[in-house]
Amino acid sequence: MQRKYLAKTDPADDEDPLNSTHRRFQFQKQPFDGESDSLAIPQEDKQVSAKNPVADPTSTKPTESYDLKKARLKENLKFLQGDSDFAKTEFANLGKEFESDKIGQEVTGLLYQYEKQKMAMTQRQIQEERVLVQELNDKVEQNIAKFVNLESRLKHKQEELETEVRIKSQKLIESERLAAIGELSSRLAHDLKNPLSVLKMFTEILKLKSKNDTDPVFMNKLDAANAAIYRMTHQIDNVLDYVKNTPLQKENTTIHEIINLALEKTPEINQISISVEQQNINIICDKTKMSIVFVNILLNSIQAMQSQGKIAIRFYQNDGNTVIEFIDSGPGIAPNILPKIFDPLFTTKQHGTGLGLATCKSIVDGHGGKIFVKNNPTTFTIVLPNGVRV
Amino acid sequence: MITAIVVDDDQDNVDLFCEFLEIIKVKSIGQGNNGLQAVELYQQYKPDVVFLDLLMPDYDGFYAIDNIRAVRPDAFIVVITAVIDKDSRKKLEDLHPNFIIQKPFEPEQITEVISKFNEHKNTLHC
Repeated sequence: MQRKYLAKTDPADDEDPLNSTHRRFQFQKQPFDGESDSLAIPQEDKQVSAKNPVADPTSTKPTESYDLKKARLKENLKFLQGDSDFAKTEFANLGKEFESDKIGQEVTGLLYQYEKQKMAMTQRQIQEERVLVQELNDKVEQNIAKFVNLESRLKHKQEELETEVRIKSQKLIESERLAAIGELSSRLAHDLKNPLSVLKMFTEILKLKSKNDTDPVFMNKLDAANAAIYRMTHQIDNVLDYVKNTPLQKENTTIHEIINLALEKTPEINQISISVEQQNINIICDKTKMSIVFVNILLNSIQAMQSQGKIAIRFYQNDGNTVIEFIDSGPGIAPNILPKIFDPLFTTKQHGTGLGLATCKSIVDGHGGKIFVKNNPTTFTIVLPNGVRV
Repeated sequence: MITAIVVDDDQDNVDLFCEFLEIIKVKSIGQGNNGLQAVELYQQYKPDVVFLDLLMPDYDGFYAIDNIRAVRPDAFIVVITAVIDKDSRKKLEDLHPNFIIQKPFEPEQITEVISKFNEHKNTLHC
């Protein structure tokens, strides 16, 4: 039946070659077409068994129909043989008439299809996995790079921290040492100033008691003793001022007030004339500490001029700063000494502590100011920011 | 004549200071070497002025100021000290001594203190 149907449609297929696939498709579907065909299978089996010599008498009938079928097939074959393409297909299809073949082909087809799909899927999976692996590799590489980067940063950080710790412990040691030196100098100062006070009292009493004594040699000796006491006291104060590093006590004051405080602590020397700018300026600073700065600069000048010459103290406002200048008529400062002049413990004097100008710098720095020196004429300049009112 | 007591752990200082006071016409009526003696001398003599060292063994100047002021709150006390560090300066300022003089001092500083005492006394009398 099926074949008849095929034969009927075949000429149309022949006319339209595009339909050939359709036809083949229909043929493929054939085994699933209906019950009738599947029922035919046992019949055909019987036909095969009919060839057996010991077949039952009823077998003649099917054999006849089989022969008839065969004859018709041959006729059809003959008819179709001239028709090249289609005939071939038809011919090939003929062998597949058997259900097992059909199933086999179907299974093979399905298997092939399935395998193909599976293959495609596997390939796709492989492709996907390859992509994933690539991505993972990239990520791993990126992470390794990150790790390497992190490691180097950690190492860098560690080095930084180590340096910091080293600097901090160095500072701690220094501050502890300074504190110890401070305590020691404080006690030393106390122990030295008491006997100095005794000596001072003694020379002062001698001076007072010999008011009417006209012996200039004796009076000069008393003055020399007093000068020596002053020098010792000043040196002790110098060390204490530098080492103690007490916090600033800023207050409203004037430059004249600081100069007066400073002059009280500076020995009067006849051959030194000190001129001070007339116009006073208000300033906010620790006046006791600033007077120490002034004293040290004045003493430095007096010593440089070998107690003979002029010192001019000038000051003015400039760009939110108070500028104070100490100009002396001394010989100036040697160029090789100039950069070291504010360094602690640097001194060119036999009697110096090397702390006088270092103390000046530390006090001026503490006020947020600047101190510097230049030659021709020798000028110490202090620049103090006016800052906020107290 | 103004009367005074002089307390310092260095006896040479005490002797010379008293000699100096004599020159400037101040009568020293008592001498001591520590804070406890200062208090005892004050209670005993009621001097016009107390010249007091700060750092002394056992009983220091702080003890003396505290206890003398307990006896008489307006006692005229002049502290004469060699060194004051920042902690003891704070402590000292809280006790309000009338004057703080650093050793070694100029004789003029003492005469100034005495003249200030005279002014102080005059205002009290008025």
